[in-house]
Amino acid sequence: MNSKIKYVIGTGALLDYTVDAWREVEPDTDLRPLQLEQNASYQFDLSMLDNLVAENVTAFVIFDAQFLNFRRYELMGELKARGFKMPPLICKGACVATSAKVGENTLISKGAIIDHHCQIGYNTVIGAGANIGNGALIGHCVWTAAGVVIGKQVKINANVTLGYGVIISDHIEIGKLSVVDKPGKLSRNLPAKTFIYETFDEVITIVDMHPAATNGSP
Amino acid sequence: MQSNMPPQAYISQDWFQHERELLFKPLWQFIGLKMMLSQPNAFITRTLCGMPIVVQNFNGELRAFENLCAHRQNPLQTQPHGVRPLVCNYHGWGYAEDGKPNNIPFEAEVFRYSKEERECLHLRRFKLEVLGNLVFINLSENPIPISEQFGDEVMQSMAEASNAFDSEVILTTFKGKFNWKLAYENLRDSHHPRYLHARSLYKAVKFQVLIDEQAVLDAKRLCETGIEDKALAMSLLRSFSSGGLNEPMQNSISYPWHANVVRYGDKDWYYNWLLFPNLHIASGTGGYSFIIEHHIPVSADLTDFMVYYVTAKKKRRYATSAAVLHAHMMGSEKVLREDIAVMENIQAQLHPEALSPNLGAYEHANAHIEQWYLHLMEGKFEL
Repeated sequence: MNSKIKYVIGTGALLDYTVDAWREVEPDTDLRPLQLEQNASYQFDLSMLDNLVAENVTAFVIFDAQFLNFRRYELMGELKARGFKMPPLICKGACVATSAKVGENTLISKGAIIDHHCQIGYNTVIGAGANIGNGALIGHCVWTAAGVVIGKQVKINANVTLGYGVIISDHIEIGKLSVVDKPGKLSRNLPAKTFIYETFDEVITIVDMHPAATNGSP
Repeated sequence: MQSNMPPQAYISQDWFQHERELLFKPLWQFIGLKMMLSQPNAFITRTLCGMPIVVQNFNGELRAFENLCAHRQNPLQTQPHGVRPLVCNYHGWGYAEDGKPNNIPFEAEVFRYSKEERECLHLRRFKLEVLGNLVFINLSENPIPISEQFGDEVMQSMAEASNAFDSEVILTTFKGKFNWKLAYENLRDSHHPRYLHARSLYKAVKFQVLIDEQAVLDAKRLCETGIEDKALAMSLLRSFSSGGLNEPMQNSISYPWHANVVRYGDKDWYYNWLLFPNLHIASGTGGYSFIIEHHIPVSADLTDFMVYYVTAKKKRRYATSAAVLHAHMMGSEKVLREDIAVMENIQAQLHPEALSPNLGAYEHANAHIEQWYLHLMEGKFEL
């Protein structure tokens, strides 16, 4: 969709990058960046959204993987609640197969390769030069750093973060809310809420035995 | 106060083995959180004093056993935690809550145990006690009552505080290259935060040094008189555990998730509990969340520094609870690394002829523990 006006909401260098990327893809669109800051308790000042009108205007939210990608999700929710359509940003230089599907407010960065029959959820960020193999399912609110390699028919569940140097082998499933931030190849399924960091000696896990919890499920 | 603690207490593997027998085996040791054991067949596994242990939920009852099958010593549970019946995956032996096998596949055909042999088949069982949501075990055949170790007041405080824990737990282990005693000494040193954590924890909590003048005199007197009386030794042991309100917090912040939990207490204070020998619980959020640190001795110069975080009990489930716990763990790493770095530096430099430390007046708590500990190690009393 090509709109006359597009609000691009975010903060700092990431906002600048995203505005530039939209400019390359939609040079005729009136891009209006909105810098949103967080207070000490990480709450956004949403007052600048109050006067925005959604009619014939689109929006795009960009934020990093903070709080397991929930901050970006929160921001997207605010814009959706105000009636905005939020088409994805496929950067110039990204290579996306025609059979691939990309969700709302998702960013496919420059040089990323999205192979055939991939499905990328909404509000997901695929970093520059990332390589997503054929038939991979990337869930909502996922963050992949630049250069991440995801094998074919991999399933990455919602709110996952993959850091620099991570390679996910073919057919692997990464459970929701997990983080893999240690360079190397992961060749086993990872349960939900499992965190692998280079700086931690051992894996960090979350256990919840509450009857309502779906502990261990993707 | 000149310390009498020789460097061997921190670096000698012989000393470490001796300490394991005299101190750890007779004492009640923390093993895990009850919330991780709340479902039928839930289990946790740990190695304490070189003993592989499984704590298993049998229809609501917790039992602690040596985690080795009575058949061929295969570990019954091979994961650090989970939900699975107590069944050996090698030959299918299943175990009941009394530690005896209740199912040996093909028993008559291939095992052919006599009645007498069958009677002897059982897992080694350990005594288990629960304080609130804290699970303790004792490796001794005749353990002291747990109230002899902690005292009624501390037990009540710990039960009350830990009953405020939510069911969702985040955990990991730091592999510390230091002797476990450096951890409890560090935690009982209220003077170090202003230096070591000047840019982290101390900005939020201005830990004050409080000198109990009577305790200083008592520590000096203890050096002169020694500990010959077991009743005195046990009374001192109980005094090594304490906790509750520690210091007021500077500029406490209210986060949105606070509205989703039932706060423990109502004070914007740092809470701190120290349970001897090796358990530390704190709340740096005024009762909205808790850190549990368990320092498990592995060898003279290695400690498994297990860290758990929980929030206070949820009022309702909310989507970002995992992110809250994750943020706690990430936020604590800086402070933990500051402490771990110092302890590892001390450990790395200790050598057999290192001079003993010189404790200041404010270190009376550590001086008391030291005297007690050395008397125990010298056989002046037994636990």
